[in-house]
Amino acid sequence: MDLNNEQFRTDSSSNRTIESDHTHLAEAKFERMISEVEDYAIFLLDVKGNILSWNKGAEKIKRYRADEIIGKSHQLFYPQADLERKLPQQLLEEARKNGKAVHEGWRIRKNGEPFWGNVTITAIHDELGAVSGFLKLTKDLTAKKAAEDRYDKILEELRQSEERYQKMIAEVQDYAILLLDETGHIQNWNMGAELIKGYKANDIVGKSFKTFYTSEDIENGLPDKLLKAAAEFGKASNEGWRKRKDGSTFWASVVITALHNERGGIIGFSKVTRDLTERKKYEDRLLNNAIELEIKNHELVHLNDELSSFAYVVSHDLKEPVRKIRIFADRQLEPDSTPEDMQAFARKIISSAERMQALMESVLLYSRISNENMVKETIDLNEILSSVKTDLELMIQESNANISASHLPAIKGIRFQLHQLFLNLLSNAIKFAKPGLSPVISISSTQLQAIDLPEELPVTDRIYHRITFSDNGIGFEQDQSEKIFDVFKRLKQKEGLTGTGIGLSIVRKAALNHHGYVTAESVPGKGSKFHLFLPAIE
Amino acid sequence: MIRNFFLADDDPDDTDLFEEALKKIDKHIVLDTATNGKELIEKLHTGKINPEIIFLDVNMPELDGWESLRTLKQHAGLRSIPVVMYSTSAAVLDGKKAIKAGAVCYFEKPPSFIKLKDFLEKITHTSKDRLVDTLKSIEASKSHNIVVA
Repeated sequence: MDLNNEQFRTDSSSNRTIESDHTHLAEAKFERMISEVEDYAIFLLDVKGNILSWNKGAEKIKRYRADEIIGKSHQLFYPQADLERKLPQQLLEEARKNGKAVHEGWRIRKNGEPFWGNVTITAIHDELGAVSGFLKLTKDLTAKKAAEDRYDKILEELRQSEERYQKMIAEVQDYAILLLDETGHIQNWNMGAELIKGYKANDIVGKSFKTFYTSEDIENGLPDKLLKAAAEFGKASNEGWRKRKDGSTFWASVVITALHNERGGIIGFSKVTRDLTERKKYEDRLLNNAIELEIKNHELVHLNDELSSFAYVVSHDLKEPVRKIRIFADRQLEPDSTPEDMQAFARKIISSAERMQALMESVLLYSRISNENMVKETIDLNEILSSVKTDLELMIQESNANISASHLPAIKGIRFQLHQLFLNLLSNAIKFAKPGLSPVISISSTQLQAIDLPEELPVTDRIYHRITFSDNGIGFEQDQSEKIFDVFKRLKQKEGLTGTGIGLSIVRKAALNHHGYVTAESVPGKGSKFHLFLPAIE
Repeated sequence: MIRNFFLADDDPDDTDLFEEALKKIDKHIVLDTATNGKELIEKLHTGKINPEIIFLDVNMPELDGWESLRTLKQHAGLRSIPVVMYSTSAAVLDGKKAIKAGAVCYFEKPPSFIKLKDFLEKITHTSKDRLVDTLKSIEASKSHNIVVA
């Protein structure tokens, strides 16, 4: 049954005749109320969708006046695209079928301007239950839609920004960037982390960041200390060796930053790690170069001292026997010399010549104690000691010397020089025994670090062996303890003692050549101690 | 005329030569000796000897020539005794150092007995007051390797 505006009114008025006055009044009020509603377009459609009534809201929203629009199709309000897909018909059909249809979408005002309409179409049935028309209620939600769109846009932008940020972090290759929860368990993983530490995300996410630390650092509590420091001070940085998945190590520069919630509570940590192994190696190389330079410099200083010593040898020690030979040869030419005098002068000449030869041999030996073209080999000092004892066998027997030694280390060295070193220390200990007392010599060895090392050593931050030769001999005044190592300076001319005074110089030079040192201590009459410092094999 | 000599030298040959040279010059000349600086200072402190001139070898054990010279020059009672530094090392090397330290001259040990005797003879023939002049004339004559103050 078709429904039009006239019929609707007629029906209403005919109804009024059968209804009570009260009801009649109420309906009239209701109708006027609808026509006055401004916020909703409320109007009736006939079964074909032609407009039968119009209210203020409809006029306000769609901008048509009642006389312009009544009788026209409601399709007028739909944009072209919706018309093409027959949306108006579909909505009516749906309302017909289901009693109502709800839709939100763009609609067109009279002036062609779109608005966002929220539409409810309700089917109206006649007494027989057939659809006689539709009530269409439209709300202009353009402002709300715009706000929603803005919000969606912001959300989308936020999502994209977050995605970009995640991607950026994920693809950074030079830095391992991870999130840790407040107990240090790994929450995410990036490509840098994979490249630096060797783990894939699913190997490691959920595990503790302690996994990357060496067992030594874990024993020392380093990871916990770093988290604690980050919690306390906001961030903590550290450089050190860390472990990769394959067990190899890399030099890491780490910054851990605490993450807080709005109330200032810690919700986790960010951890940024860089692999600075190459830089570390370079720095270590520089350091090694510096150490080498220092050693070289040390050698040069000693070489210079040696040159002065050689000048002294020529200007004094070698000159002395030459002068004596000249004097006594000259005296042999004196006219009043007796045959006894002549013999005495000849003996003096011979002993001076012998002394000179001994000196020259010593100088030669001393010059052989040189570092040039010497390749260091691993040498067991116990072997050196036993071969020196063999050399000194006769001297040991004659003096009834007792030599005892603890186990000695092996070192990197030059056999000939170490042999000379031990030979001179031992022969001195026997030579300078107290008259009437058999020499007792003991050799002991201990390891020392920086502390207790003499400052003359070129490098003190390594481990040294200290080998001590103690004797029960005549000793010397402590203030002579440095002088005795000077080239050719005899500390004490003792009757019947021979020697060129070069022995201890050889000892010191050999020690220096091994990047070591030798010192002496003594109380006269109470024996002496010679401390030999030699670097331990690294 | 200088008649009282002191020689501190650890080399017995040089001591013997020195003594013999002085004897040959004049057997009444007095020579006291020590084999090192410590012994020299001890002997001087006893006060029994009063050398007019001291010869100091440089290389000696215990207290060497330089340390002995310093000790002598620091001592009020001994400071005025002229000291001759007497060593094998070349005068051109150590001469100035000796003068600076207060020695009256540096006398390089000569390579012949005749030369030693000649030098000592010139010393014995001079008076204590004229010593420096005598030494300067020896230096000027270039007959000995000597450096004078």
